[in-house]
Amino acid sequence: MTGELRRLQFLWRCQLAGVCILALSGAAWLVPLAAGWLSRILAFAAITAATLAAIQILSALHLRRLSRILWPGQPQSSPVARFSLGADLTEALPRMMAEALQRAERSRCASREFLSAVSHQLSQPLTALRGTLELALAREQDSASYRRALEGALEQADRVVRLSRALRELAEADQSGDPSRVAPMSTILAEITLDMRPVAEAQSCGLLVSGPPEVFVAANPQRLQQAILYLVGHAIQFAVAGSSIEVRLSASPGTAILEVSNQGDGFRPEELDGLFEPFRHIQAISEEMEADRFRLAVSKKIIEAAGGSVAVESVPARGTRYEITLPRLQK
Amino acid sequence: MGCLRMRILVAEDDSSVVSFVRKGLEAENYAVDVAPEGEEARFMAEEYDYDLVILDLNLPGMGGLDVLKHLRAKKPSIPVIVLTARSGVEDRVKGLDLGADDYLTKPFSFSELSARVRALLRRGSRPAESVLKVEDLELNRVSRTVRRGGKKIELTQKEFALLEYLMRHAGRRVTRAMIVEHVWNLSFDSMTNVVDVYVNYVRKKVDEGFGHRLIRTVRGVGYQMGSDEAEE
Repeated sequence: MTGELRRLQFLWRCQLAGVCILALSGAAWLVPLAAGWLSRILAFAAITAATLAAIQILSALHLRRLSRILWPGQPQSSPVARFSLGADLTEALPRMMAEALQRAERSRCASREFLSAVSHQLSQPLTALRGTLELALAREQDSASYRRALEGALEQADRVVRLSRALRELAEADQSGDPSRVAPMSTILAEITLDMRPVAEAQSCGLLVSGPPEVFVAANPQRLQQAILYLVGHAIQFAVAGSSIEVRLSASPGTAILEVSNQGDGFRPEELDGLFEPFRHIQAISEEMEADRFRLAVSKKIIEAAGGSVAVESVPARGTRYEITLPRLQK
Repeated sequence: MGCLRMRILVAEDDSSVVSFVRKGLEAENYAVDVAPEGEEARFMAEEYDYDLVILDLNLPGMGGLDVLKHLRAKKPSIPVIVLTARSGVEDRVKGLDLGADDYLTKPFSFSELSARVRALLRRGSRPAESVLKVEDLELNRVSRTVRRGGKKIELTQKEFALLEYLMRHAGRRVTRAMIVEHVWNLSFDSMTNVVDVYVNYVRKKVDEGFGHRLIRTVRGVGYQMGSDEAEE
């Protein structure tokens, strides 16, 4: 699709160049023969050519701006092509608008679902908190009972605090894209090895990190480190004792791929489905599992904000492999 | 505490937050003044003598960051703890760049605030020494060596930084969040298990085989190096 728009742009440029060459060659041929009326024709031809060129430039710029508005996430070097070559713009535009509206509607639905899930999650500890305090105040009690009630209330308040922190982290991850920063992958991986190897060892696991040096991606380094740290932490958490967690970086022109894999129970397809989506689960899960999903969701949002993606595949009773793809910066 | 109570200015407009912060700090024997507006906070902090300022960034009138800028121009060394509703690492760095000594995100627990207040009040009274000592444990920040009872202890870079942080705050509680923020320069809640693992590593090297344990776990709070600091 990108290729098609590129071709369209190329044609535009060709037309532009053609018009310019025509005007110049016309001038070159005609100037020696120039008489008074001939120079007027020449001037007219030159003005027409200049006007045509200006229109071409303006329409090209306009189309670029349009594609940026409709697909804001796309990098500038590869504007998204939704036009087929030769298709009429008037035909393509309504289709593009409809697609954009559909996307907006889908994201509205998703945020509605998310909001209702959040309110549900909040209602549980708040109900317990309110109930505990209400009961404690309902009748006179000894100080030990008051103390127990207050301790229970504190525990529920802490749950709300943890939830609010996780939500804030998720919201901030959404805005963490920063294409002007350069993140050196080898430094990030070295830091992660330093931090997480003791954590893996505490679970009788190994942590093997490998990859070529000099791989850079356009992202906020601290945020990217956080995203990878969360994924590696998750892989360690679900690894079987005695195994090793592997973190392998590979790079091709334009792309950096980071694989994180573990050996362990793995996930069933239905579990895998909501792995990066907190609250999206049929059965109740523990608070610790919920926190883990929050971290994975934060990870995914940070990576997507940097123009990358996360894929996961898992084989039950074997293990799980995560693949982070990031646009690589050429030095 | 001693004959002179430490004075703290709390610049915060939310009355429920002010209420528990004031109660908690007064129970720890600090004298507390409250400024609910930016302009008032700036005036009080500049005109009166405080040992520490707790400053909310979201003050009505003059914003907290402006108060901080004015205050820094007049009193560069007064310790300031900034309170905010944002938690991003970038925001923390921005706040610290503008001259805040520490940065606490709402909602916070009182024990977290109290630990940070103590850490800052103490720092003001002691210059950074090149050799830190806690009983028979000695850490040299220049040669980057650690000895206990004359015996050399090998530590990795991170373990050294962690031990240095604990020793700089010897006799005071430090929370896991404080360690994550100051030793790792990160602010993620989920790093706390990394902290626990690291503290255990350092503990094995520093405490095992020496009879007397120096690194204590403070339940529900974090860790403490050495016994409680003598009250002045």
